[in-house]
Amino acid sequence: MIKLCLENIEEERISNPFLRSLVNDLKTGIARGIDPARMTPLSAQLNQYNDGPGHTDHTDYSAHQDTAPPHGDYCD
Amino acid sequence: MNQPITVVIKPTRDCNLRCKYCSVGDPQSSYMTKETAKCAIEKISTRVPDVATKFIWHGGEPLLPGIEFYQEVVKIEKPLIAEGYKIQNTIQTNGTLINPSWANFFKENNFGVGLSIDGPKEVNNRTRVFEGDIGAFDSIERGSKILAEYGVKHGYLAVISKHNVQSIDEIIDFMKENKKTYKLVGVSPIGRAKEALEDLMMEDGNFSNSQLRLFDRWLNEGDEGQKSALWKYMVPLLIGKPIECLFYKDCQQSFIGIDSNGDVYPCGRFCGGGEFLYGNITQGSFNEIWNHPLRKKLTERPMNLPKECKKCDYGEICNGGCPMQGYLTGDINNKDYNCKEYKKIFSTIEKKILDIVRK
Repeated sequence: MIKLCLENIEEERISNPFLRSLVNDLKTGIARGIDPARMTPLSAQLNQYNDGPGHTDHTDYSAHQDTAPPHGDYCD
Repeated sequence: MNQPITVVIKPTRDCNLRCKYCSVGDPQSSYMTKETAKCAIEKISTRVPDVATKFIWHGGEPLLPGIEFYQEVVKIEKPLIAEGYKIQNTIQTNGTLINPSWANFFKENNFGVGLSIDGPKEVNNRTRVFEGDIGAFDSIERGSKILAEYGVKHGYLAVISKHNVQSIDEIIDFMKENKKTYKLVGVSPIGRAKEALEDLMMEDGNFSNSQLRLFDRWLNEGDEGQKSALWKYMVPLLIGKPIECLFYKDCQQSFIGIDSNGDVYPCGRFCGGGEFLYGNITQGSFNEIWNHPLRKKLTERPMNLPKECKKCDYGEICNGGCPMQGYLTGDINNKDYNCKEYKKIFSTIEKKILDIVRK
């Protein structure tokens, strides 16, 4: 089992500022009803919704609104 | 069928580069006809109302069919969008053919653009080359600059192989200097790469070490690009579910691949291989393709994974990894050949985050 759990992490106890910021972005997005699995790094910061799955062969992290999942073989 | 789909669509498998690790390696491939593109776009985008479709124009080199091909694509899509169908276009290119006309086209038509580049010139030119082993870096960089001039935001995608895994810091530095979001993808033993496995495939632990080096640097530097490259590892550990196709429990609910001749496969990575051919997009309905027995077999993979996947601490965020990368070890129900690497990445990042949050 994974030992980490976002909701149990107290942001104020995170000494690393970058990790604290990541946790904050994810929690804020979730609080606004955004599925964290559909956030990109930028959309998380902007509290925007990424509407579909990503693929490994594609970089998929731009600010524009994705309409479908990210794929690993693509990166924008 | 009732959720967003990403279509990895190959207008050609031909390419003007001869990268040593190419997962396609088919320079004789023909180009997709406009009729086939029309079939694909119309059948998939209109499968159900109000559900998004993203096309990743992939290759080969997807710019080879020319700008007229994509002008036709946009023309086909416009009336569908006007009817309310949600369609997005993205393209993964080697960047060498980009000129102001392409940049303008991408900008005007809101194409997401990914550029494939493997790091600074000396590192990139070890593997990303034209015929005759001529490094492609200068041409790629020129394409990237043109995109930037036209305001087309684009990310970078780097393939990590034995040729560059020891140069991970140079790659990270390069991405940081260029202020790019990026992904680091491990080399796959398919296509042209099969001809040089000894030269390309990394020794055990090297890929995971490169990703963990990136994680350590992010903890110290907090670079946004670094965060983007680690997103697929860090976020699943925090939220308890995967966020990228590689680790999806059932990627077949969200992805499909279309080859240049219209043949439909589980994903772009399967294109050109016979066994998992679902049919041809120009024949029959999309429903028939979606209900193909081979697709059903693939959707059952999570239940048929080895016992060790079910017992693994990271099973719920890894799900046996990429089906293609399992298939390459002999059976679609096998775990991904990168299992050990992923496990080391997940467990080490988890431990380091736990150490920080428990302090």
